Amino acid sequence: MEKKKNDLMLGLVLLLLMVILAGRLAGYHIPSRAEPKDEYPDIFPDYKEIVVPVNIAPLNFKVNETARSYRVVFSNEAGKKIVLRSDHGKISIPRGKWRKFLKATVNNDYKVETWTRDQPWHWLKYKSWSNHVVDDKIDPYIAFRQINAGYILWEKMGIYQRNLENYRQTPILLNDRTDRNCMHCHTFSDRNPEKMLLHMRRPPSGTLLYNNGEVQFLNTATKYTMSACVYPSWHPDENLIAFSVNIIHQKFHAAGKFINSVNDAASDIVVYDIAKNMLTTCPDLCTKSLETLPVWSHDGRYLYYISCSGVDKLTPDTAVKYDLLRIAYDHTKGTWGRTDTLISSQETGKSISFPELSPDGKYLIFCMSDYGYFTVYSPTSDLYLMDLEDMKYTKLPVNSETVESFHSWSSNSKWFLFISKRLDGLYSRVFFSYLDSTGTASKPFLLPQKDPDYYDAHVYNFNRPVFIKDKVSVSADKLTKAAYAAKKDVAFDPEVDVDALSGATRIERDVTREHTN
Amino acid sequence: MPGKLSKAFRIITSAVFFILVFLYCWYYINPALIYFKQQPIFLFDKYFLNKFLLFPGGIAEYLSLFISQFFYSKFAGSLLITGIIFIAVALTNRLLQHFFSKQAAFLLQFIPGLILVYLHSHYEYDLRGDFIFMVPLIFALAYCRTINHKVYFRILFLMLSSLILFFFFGGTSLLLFTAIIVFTEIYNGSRRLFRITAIFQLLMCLILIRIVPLTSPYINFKMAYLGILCPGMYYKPLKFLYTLYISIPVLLLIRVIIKYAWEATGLAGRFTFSISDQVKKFLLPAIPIVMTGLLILIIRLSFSQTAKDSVLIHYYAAHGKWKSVLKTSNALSTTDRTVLFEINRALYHLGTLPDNAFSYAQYWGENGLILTSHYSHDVLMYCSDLYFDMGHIKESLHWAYEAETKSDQAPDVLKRIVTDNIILGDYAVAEKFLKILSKSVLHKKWAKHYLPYLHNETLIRQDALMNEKRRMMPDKDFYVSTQQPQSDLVNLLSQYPENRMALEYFMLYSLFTHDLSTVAVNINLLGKLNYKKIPTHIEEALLLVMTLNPDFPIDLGKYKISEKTKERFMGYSKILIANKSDRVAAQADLFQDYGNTYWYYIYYVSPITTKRKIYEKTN
Repeated sequence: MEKKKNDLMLGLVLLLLMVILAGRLAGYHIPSRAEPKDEYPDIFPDYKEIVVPVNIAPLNFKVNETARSYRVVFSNEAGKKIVLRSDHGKISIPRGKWRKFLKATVNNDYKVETWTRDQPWHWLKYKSWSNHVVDDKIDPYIAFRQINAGYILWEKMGIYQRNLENYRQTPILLNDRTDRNCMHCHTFSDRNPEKMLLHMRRPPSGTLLYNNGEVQFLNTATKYTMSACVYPSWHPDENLIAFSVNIIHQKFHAAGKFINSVNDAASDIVVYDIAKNMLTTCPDLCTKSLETLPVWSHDGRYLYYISCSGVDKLTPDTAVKYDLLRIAYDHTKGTWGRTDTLISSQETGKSISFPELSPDGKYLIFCMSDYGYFTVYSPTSDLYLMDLEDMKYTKLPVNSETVESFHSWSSNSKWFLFISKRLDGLYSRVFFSYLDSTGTASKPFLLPQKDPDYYDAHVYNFNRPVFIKDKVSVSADKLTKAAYAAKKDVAFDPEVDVDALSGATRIERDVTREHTN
Repeated sequence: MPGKLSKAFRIITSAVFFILVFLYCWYYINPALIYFKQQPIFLFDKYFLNKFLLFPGGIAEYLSLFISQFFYSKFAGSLLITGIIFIAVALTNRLLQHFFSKQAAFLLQFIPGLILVYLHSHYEYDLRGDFIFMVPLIFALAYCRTINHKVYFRILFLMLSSLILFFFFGGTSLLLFTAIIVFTEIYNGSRRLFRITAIFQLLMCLILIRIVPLTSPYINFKMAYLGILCPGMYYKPLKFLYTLYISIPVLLLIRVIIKYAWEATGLAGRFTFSISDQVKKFLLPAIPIVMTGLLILIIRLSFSQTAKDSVLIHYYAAHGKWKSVLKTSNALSTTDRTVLFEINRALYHLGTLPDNAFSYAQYWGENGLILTSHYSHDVLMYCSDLYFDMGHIKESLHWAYEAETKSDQAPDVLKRIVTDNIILGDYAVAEKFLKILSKSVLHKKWAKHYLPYLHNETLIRQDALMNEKRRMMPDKDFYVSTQQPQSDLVNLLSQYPENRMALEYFMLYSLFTHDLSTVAVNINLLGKLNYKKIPTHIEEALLLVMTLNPDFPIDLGKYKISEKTKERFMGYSKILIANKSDRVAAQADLFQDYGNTYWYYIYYVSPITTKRKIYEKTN
């Protein structure tokens, strides 16, 4: 009697397990009969018809179509498939399967098919799309600053790094550790995570320089410069860093599409020699014009920058338009050469900003907007690509109606990232695009997140994202300790006959002048 | 019989204590004001939870936000505060019973209760402190139950408890737990002071607090030790919170000292004393009376009507209760420019700003009218409020974004961002924040109401407030001036001359900055808005111009200065003349009859005259 009872129980358990298993298997079946729908499903993020790097984290998305059940099938020409089901529209791709699938699809397309079921047994099949997988890897990390929507004030902020091959995001340094001060302008030498600098404003204020395992805290303000150093760029030899020095103002608009404008009352360019702990400059970089946003060429023979001339206090902001220039530099002798204007705002009627050269020296991406240079707040800002062989430039097909700005090249020069506010018009998000051998950019795709709803809940900007080749290993503790240690004063080159006060003569800075950066 | 009597008095004492605490919360503190001041938001969303799992002590903050969102209701809030204090007292009692007699534990249990009453009397105090205090007590009580178990079991328990406490409730919580465990071990360990479990717990505490900051980017050493007591943190708790945290360890220390230095040395036997039942009968009724007295004393020491009014005035303003704003302001000092700011707003909404503004001591002049000159955390939303009232929507939005940055998703700030963006037609941003608000139990109804507004111009046109703001807001761009907001007012007026608020603020701003000629040449603007007469303070200013500069051309148009004001000016002048224009000598007489005039203001109150400077911390 007892045995029969046990057998019955065992049978019931097995039956239940089989029912569950059958249910699960049925959940992954591809609907054999479905009503075709001649349109793409509405998905977020838009990962349709894009180029995908072989090492990217799974591109999870959400199908924004009302239904009770969803099926998505990824398939390639080799017959490999990933079949996914969802009851809420979120498509989460298992990382292991995704990696194998991408490897098996390298230099080929994969197809994505979507079915939805709104009634029992009634499936709709949407138009499928294809994505192309390339073997050109994207750099595995990006570093960025995470900040709120405020323009003047800040509270919590930090420099973070995000692994692009998975979803792991960790802080490099948070301002919780540094008395909630402002930290900004994080920059790396050739995407090397072992060579980094970042500025801090409000005590402890200064520049953290992490170089060859050592962290220094620099006071880059000198009596010959109008401000502490601001926008940086490392020379390929890793010993020089070009900076701008700026007196920055911010204004707010009462109507129209701009909410604010950031502009400079004055700006010049200086170069910091790490070994000598000294700033230097040359007359062409410290004129009465506004020179700013320096960036070295891949071989270090040129310093590219933007400049705006003929500006005074009465110049309307809409007339402040920057040209793109470069100045030759002989690193072996430390001498400056000729200055060339590459793009004149008089020709374009627009203002150039944020030039950034590809590591292979072939291309330059820059922003162009109606006026000014701080394009993060300019809805008119778009990205352009210049071929450095013929110096011709074209508008990239990655732009939207709103802000496209700060961009960075991957170390193989095949990928670039940029920020765009196209999702909601307020917050900067990171997008990636592939540049093929003909210089054609692919449709950009949004930085993937494990949960596609991430961006709905996220109320911070991805500010100044840059590619890095690996994880930053220096600990927050080490950086913090350096920030509270004695600051190292930077000297100004006594051999130079000009200062960086937008004037040609060497005069001491008026210490009573208030300025911000 | 004495036992029963004693129990009855314990029940009576507790009942009286907690009823009084509830009534105190209800009548005096008013948790709705705590909610208004702190603006807690709690979202049923995994990202919201994840934020608090990133750093040690995050869960204490998470729970605090969950509970304190119900402070929105005065009744629920009072009940919750009373309930939390009850739990804290009950936990204390249970713990102390392991060390003291039942009677002593009963009396001592009220110590943390009284401290918590003190803390909750402060509108800036949040519930994190309560959790950081209570949770270690729960773990310590659980540990007391394991005291007879094997050592390895207790060590395992301590290890798990320490990890949970440190990562979920922070370093302070772990320190408190460690102190209780060490004293428990010493107390129970006869003369063997250095028990292995106590040493293990001390090591665990030191290791966690020392190692985590070295490896985690989220906290530094100071934050690891002190959690929310760290001075660098955004939330700066009251110093009295230390008293709460050390109260239990101090009691246990005293008990340990009594045991080892008093009882064990035999001193206790030499100085024994006992209380007769007769005396006990007499003393017992005194306990609830004494306890009530202590509670009242704590309330007297901690409750500040001024602190309450300082919150209340902004609460009334946020709810458009303008008469209550003015009534509350009578109890507050106008040396606080945010008080003056709300007074001026209330006067405008009651239609008496240019007639009654100088009935209040306008110590901060134009800086009490518009607060934009200093970017400080305290004024961000007030600036947004003012410009929202005025239809200066984009600037209202700018200040709301600054406020959002400082106060991380405060519900009122998010609602302002939503309404401003709907008015401006930026629906994507509005939608984003509506989605966030819809995850809050308290605000999802509000979000549900506004979601249909997105891209629905008809619905927006039907909304009187939005429609009005759209009419008022400028459509031609100009640069906003935070330092000289008068130029904004001019621009607002030039684009929408019916903007009554902009006009009155413009006139008042000119009066505050002694710019009388601007007032005089703009009298015609009153006609455009159909003022029946020239407002009193503007009449007063005009008379001053006419007296000081008779040649100044003033075109009053259809208006004339009232006889009453002229007579008052004569009276004012007579007093001055009688005192031979000696301002100091004339002040008392002038204040009595003319203290509410612009003439008095410009001579005695104006910060330009008195050279009063604002010293406010920015950011």
